[in-house]
Amino acid sequence: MLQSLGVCVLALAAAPLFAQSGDAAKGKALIASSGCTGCHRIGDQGSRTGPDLSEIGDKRTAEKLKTSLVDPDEEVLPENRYVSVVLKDGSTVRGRILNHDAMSVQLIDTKQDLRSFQTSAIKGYTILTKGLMPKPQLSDEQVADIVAYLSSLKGTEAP
Amino acid sequence: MKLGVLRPLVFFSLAGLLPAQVTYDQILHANREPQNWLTYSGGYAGQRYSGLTALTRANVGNLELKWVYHPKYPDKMEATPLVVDGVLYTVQNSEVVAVDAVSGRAFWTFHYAVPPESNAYVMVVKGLAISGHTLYWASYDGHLIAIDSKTGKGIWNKTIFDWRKGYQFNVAPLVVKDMLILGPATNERGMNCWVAAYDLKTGQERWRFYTAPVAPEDPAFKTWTGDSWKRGGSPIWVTGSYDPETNLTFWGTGNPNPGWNGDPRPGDNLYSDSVVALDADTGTLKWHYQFTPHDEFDWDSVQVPVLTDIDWQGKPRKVMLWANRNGFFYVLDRTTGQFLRGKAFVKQNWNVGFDEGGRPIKSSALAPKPMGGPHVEPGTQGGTNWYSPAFSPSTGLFYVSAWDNYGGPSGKSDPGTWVENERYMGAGGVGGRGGGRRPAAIGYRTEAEGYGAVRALDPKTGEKKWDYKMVDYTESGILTTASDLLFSGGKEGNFFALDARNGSLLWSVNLGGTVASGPISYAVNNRQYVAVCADTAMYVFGLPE
Repeated sequence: MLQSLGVCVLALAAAPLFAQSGDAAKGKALIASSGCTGCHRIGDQGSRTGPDLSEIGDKRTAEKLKTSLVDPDEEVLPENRYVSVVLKDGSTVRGRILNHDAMSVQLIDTKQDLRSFQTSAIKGYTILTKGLMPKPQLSDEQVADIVAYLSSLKGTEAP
Repeated sequence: MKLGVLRPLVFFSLAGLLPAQVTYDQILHANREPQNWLTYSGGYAGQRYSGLTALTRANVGNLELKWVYHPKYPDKMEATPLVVDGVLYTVQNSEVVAVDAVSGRAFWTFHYAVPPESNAYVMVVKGLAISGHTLYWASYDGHLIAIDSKTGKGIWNKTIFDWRKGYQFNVAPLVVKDMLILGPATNERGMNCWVAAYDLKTGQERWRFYTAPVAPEDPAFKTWTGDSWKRGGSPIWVTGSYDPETNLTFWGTGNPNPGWNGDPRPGDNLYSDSVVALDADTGTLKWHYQFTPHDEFDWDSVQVPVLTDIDWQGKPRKVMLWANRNGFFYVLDRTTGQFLRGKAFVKQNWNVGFDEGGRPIKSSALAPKPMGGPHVEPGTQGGTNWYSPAFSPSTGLFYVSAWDNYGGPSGKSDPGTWVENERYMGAGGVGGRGGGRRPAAIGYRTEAEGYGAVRALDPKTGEKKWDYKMVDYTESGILTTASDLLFSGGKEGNFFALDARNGSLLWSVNLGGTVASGPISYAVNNRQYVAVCADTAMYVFGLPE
């Protein structure tokens, strides 16, 4: 059901009761079987093109996590925005924006490559704040399970 | 034996022939020697304009790094260096240095240990002044120090104030005739500040003009309520200008205290957020204009007053150009202070117009300011800030580092009771913390969420002529040259040259840290250089040999 997940976008606040109502183990299995890691990284698994979820339980409340699952466009954190870069040679590159200034645009593309483009080589670019992750078809119970799992991801000490 | 006698005699003779290194007349006519950079803004008019033309729009793309100076103290460099006859002088934290302007090698360093606790922020200083063979440094901790520019030896060191009371020096002093003019800042400590003149030879004070009242007899007293005048602030953060024709020196003043909550201080709160025009010989106030009466948004008028003569509605007029932190670009008659025009140069929502005298009419939505964070445009950082603007007599344009489409919740909280040398701000409440979603970090921001720009304005109309847009706002000042080059930089470390006529990019380099100073240009042996500070170092560029 989560096969088509693009970039999940997740946020902040405090509603632990919701998280406690789900089954974290089921949520973990759902994440693993649904292709979420095609965009998201958890620990040492998954893609880096979407937001890293390894410590998402520290960063966002259960309520925010739920909102991000059922209505991904409701709030896209600025650091999770994508950029679509159209180069002067006609090609288009999309990726999660890392930075941009008057001289250049940096992003991590869909192949997880770090890319930097001088504005002199760019015909145009658009910062995408919506439509980054399609609405998944999930039951309320599945949502609760996934939220419970994500809420449990507290991260570890950096090496 | 003869040689042994002759050598000292020859040396003495040559030393005796040395002209005074920098005379008042030289500063007065700084445009006649564009190879030097003699004052903070390059000249009394505050234009930050270089008459050098060796660098052109055609060859600026060949600029290469010549040398780098890393101060002993790794603090953010905001100082504008001075250059005199091939020697570059600058200051950082507790050290003044003289270096070869061609190679960057130091001739000498002068050290005075500034107590770190005397500056609440990072240890920044805007620069030095020079007259004769003497450099002048106003240190954060309230010392005015004279240094021999040839040897780096201290000549005198006077304590102007006790920094523990809540003062600090931040500006590069301005030499006018035989005086040094400057004033202190208070960094939200609520100490009433001033502009004063000091004798170049002795450091003795000649006159003092308080920018907030210190007695009920002061004309500004009636613009405060109760004893709020005792915490008037109105600091001096940036070096002023001087008009030799009228003998007026102009200085911008900062915000009143508490800065974000005006409730304890009903009234206009003069002379906060103003420009004051003072007789340079006596300090007598000739006129003033208050850009933001009763400020509650920290809109310091800490900009360099830019002076020029322009054709104004068919007649020549001596004007002052001023892009203010409050988002408006002003044209004033500098001989009388008459308000000629105020026009928004960035998106703003606080002002709905001006009355006939030029007094701003505040939006009823923001005034009186409600408790708890109304959305205000421009935000507290301002439409611009302390960064030096520029005026090019060649293009006739005024250039400003601007931040547009930018606003935010402005906090207002109970300021509590004033305590000596503690911040007295009245900020940090609901608005200060910002309810709702946080703004996008710079690197992810869309243009609608705010952007920085080098903005060219036509002083005659107030209209924007062009923008060089950047994602982030910038703390860099602007330099223009007689060959219509414009140099500026950005917070992300870009330092660049634009065509001053149309804003097109001609050259850039990334210096790896925030550009937060005004670039300068100088020449040695007919070779032109450009110097700029980025983060904790100074970089000098020139054309290949």
